[in-house]
Amino acid sequence: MSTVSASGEPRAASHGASELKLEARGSRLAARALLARWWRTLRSVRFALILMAIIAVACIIGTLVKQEPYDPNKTVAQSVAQSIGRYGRPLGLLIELLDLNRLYHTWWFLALLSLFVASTVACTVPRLRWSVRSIGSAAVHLSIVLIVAGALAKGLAGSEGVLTVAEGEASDAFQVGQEATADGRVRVRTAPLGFTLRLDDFDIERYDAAREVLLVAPAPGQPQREERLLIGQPTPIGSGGTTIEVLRYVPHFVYSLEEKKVISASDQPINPAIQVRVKTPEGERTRWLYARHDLDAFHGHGAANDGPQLRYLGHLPGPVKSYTSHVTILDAHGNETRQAAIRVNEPLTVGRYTIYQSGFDPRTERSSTLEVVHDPGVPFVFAGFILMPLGIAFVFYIQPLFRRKAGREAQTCHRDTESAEKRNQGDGV
Amino acid sequence: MHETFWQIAFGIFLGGLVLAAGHAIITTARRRAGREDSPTWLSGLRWLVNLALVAGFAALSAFIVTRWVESGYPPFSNMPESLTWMAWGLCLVYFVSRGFVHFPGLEAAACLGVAAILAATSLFDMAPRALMPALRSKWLVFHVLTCMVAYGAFFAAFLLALLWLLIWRKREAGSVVDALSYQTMAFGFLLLTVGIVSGAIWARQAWGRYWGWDPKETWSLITWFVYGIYLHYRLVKGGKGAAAERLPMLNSIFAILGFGATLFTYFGVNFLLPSLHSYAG
Repeated sequence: MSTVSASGEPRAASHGASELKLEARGSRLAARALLARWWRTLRSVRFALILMAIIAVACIIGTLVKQEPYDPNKTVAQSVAQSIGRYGRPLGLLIELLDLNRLYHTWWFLALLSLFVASTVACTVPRLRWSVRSIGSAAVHLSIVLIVAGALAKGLAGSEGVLTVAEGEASDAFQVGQEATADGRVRVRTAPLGFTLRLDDFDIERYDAAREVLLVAPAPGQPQREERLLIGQPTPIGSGGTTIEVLRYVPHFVYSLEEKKVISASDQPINPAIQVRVKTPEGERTRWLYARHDLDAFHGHGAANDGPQLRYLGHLPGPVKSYTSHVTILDAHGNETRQAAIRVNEPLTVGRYTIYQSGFDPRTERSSTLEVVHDPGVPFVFAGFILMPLGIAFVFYIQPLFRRKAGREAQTCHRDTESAEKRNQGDGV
Repeated sequence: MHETFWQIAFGIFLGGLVLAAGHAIITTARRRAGREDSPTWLSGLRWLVNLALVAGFAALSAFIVTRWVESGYPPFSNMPESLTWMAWGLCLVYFVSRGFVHFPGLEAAACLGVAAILAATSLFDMAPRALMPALRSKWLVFHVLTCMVAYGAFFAAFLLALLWLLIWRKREAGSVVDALSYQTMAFGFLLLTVGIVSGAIWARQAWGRYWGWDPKETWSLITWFVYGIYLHYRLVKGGKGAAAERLPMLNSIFAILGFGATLFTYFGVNFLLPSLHSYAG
């Protein structure tokens, strides 16, 4: 490559330098060619469609493999052992290797999504023209960018967590996650709310469909069956024409001597009892049954040894209709700033946080679980949500109107349609 | 009351199916024999089929209204209720298409589709069920309506694709069937987009996030991608050169593939995968 002359070290050096320069230029050209090729790939619709297909396949895998939440208690070895136990060795190892059980949060899935957004932009921008043809698709593609930008904003600057608070108690922080400490324990990570939330009252509204659970045998010695009865609905028992009907339920049965009648001393299920009417072909009888005291068994022979044998098991409340946290918000100085009710589908926004009703403790029904979310990306995402259907509607229903109009004009003016066709082809894949 | 309307609607669509199938077979046989004319009795038969479709649609709508009144909640919350909306959406797609195109077998396909959906409805417990707290929202009606009409449109596109594959592939009306199937998919795609978006806005209001990779959400996205890929291909590359000739076959493949994804989003997720949407079953 290099020529050596007796006198010419400098020459050789200069020659070497120009060669280096050439080489550098060559590699720069090669890099540029590579970039150009990447750019061509990125801006091709074919590549975008293939990416969509790959993402769809990844999503399918994500729904078939059970997705696990992050658990700081679990070591990698435990996680691998669990996957192998569940899916077998080869599949389990593959799942752990590619994190298929946390698929939507893996680097490679996020990279696919990023590439998809890049491809969407690359497909749109070079084709952008101030014409009806490109407005609709540009709007749809912009909406995708907006939605992803919003999701990114949430991931970078947002936070979410859980706030569990019992009636009468208050909290100024919420739980954002768990982390393993250096000594191998798990610590709950909390973040300050910037205000204090006090749960004044928590109530549950139920549908009127409570059922009374009874163990029924049509006659002594016959097999028992569990029946779930609605109040006021006579139900046939056995084949002998006997019916039973629950007339009344009291959670805390007391016989009031002053009023000379049965009352409920409280709304707590301390002594649940039901009044039932049993109709047999011979006649009818009304009696009380107690969930905590089986008087029939106590008497040994049964209160009615000829009719059906009844045992009251308990009260099954109706399905939950809605539940409400009545809260008071206090500022940093402890002043009450506002009172509000939080329900499912009716969140409360305080400062940067939006607070959602997400659950309650079914044992006490006195403790509320709230979801606390700060999501600065929502305006972008919702702008995308509005833009996307509008763009799609434009592409399919507005654009053809213009094309038809343009077609008519072209016909009447006898324009050369070939150039238009060529232009259309230029927009192709 | 609403049970009666359901039975009436089912009966009408079954009857319509028989008449429509008869009409399609007779017309095709006559065309093969070289008789393109339509005598009064044959036109009358077609008129009767369309009358049945209108009456069936009315009965279906009456079923929805009476059920809404009698159960005390909007009938959008469980499988039989949403299936009814899918049948309703399919009818709607038929009536709109009927305004633009016609070919023998269109009515029969519509009757078959609706009757099949209503038959599927009867597999589920029809008793009204109280709404759980998360469903008590103004978004329920809009979200379910858009999704189910989209599913109805995808079902229509699927039936048209089958018609094209089995009957019209080599015939002149093939291009009409293909174009209608494509338009139906485009309409369904728009409604599915609105359905997913409204679901996301509702999820943000009820659960605090607009997207959570719940299986139902993920499968609706997969379905959206399947139709999205095809519609992009057709919009960008369709109508030119060799690609244009392959387009009707591709149309049928994607109509079937997309409807498969739709079915999995609708039934598969409810019955096979654990999901926040599982109350819908």
